[in-house]
Amino acid sequence: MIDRAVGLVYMPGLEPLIGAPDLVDVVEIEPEMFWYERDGEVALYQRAWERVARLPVPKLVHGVGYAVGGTVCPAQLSLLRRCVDELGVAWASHHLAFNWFGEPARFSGFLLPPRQTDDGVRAAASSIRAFAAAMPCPVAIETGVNYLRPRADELLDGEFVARVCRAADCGLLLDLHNLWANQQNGRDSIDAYLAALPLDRVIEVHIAGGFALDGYWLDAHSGPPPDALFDVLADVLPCLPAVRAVCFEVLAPFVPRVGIDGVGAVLERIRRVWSRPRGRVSTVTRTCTPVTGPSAEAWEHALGSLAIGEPPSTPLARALATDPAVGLLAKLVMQGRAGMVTGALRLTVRLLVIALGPDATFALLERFCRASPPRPFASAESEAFAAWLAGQELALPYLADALAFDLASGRAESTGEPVEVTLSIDPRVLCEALGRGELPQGDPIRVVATVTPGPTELAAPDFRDGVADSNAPGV
Amino acid sequence: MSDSMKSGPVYVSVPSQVFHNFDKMHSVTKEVLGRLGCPGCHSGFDIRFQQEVEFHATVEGKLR
Repeated sequence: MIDRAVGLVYMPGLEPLIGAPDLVDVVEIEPEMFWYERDGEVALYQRAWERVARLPVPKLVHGVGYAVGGTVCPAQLSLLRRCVDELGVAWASHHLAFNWFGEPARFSGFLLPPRQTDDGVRAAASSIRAFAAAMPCPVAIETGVNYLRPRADELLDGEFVARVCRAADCGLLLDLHNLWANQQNGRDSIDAYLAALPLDRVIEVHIAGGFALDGYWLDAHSGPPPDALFDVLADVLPCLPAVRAVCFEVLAPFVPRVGIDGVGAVLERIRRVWSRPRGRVSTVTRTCTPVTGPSAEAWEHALGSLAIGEPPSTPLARALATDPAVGLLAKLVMQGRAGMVTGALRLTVRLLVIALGPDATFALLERFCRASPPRPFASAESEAFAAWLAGQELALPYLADALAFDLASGRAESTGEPVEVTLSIDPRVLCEALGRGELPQGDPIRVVATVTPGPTELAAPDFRDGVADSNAPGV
Repeated sequence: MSDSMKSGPVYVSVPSQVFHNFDKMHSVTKEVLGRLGCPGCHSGFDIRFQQEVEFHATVEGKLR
């Protein structure tokens, strides 16, 4: 039974905390982290999935890849159901946002705010009901972040969430850092947002940290939550009769900076808040009149297209394009895509950065992003980048080898089977040079490399003193 | 053309994470999961390319 639980959203490298006594009661899994796409099919990275299923605490599922807040009915529900069944979760949650738009559906590369009108309420409720019907357990929707300016033709944030929640008859995942970011960025205050919500439907709370960029407070999941957000948590918990878990979110690339002890300290602080609830959330009475304006579908097309870098093609898109947040969203999409390629093609990107320099490499990634639409999985994004890069005629020594090894490595990991690849350099020599920050030297030779998948049980990185130990075994 | 190009291929077997054994910096998450999946589906900021650049800057500094 999950109750008054301290939770952690699973990220690679956090395993030492999950096994520690009295620290993590429940771990929340984002299943799409374990999915990959190849040849148009989405599949489960089986070995890694089995490993996370063995984590010694109860699990929750939190979907990210096919959000439930828009007009596009979420895809891959049968695979999500399989993940939910295999983990035996008490409830599953998803984002009240959209990241697919249009017909045929296109991926936006980022979770985007839905149309906050009556039409948007109907669309989101329909998608949530489809999600709920596919799940064997209760479902909840997460209160989202919205970097856009408030609009006169939309419901207030909290009121929109409340209406969707009631229309879909679902639970709520109250993400306090999203509300914090919205407040910092000039949207609803946290008090006003909370006052509008059906708080008796909140089953789970998220808490996270962020940072400022280009005049916005980002929901970056980059470290400990602000101190003031812990005060909000302490104030709101007594007002949530159905809440059963408070989960901390931090993204894996930030863990080395926070330190594993820093993550543990946040979890201990959450437990102290559970033990000493205080205060009452303020109540604000507001009235919201029905709003119409552009349809949810038109909204998604306009905002989705702008986020992926397309020029505005409708009056709504042209109006939205004047919002500085649209430029921020496009930047975040671009950063996310660059991150996916960097993570999946480590040798290739390292070689490019050494040979061309950071700015030229990022410019190369930008050109790729303009030429090719976003894809939801690093596997597909990296294959697309590899195909595009092959046509750029860069003539960098051993670039093709780095690319071939990276792709073979990804395929071996996703399938669990060895992959054979022909190279013009011993991959160990290539790796050794790039690991030192140098370009490989010497004459080409012909090497047939069999790339084998890694061990099922990977040793976790060591984040002592906030810096990973590069000599940790098995990584 | 090198000798091995003329004489036939060299056969090697290497683990997919071989790069991790040589990488002297924790510039990008080493776990294989960070290379697959849907890590871009969040509402924040992805720093993995930035981390790679930081690695480059550090190595450059060491070399000079």
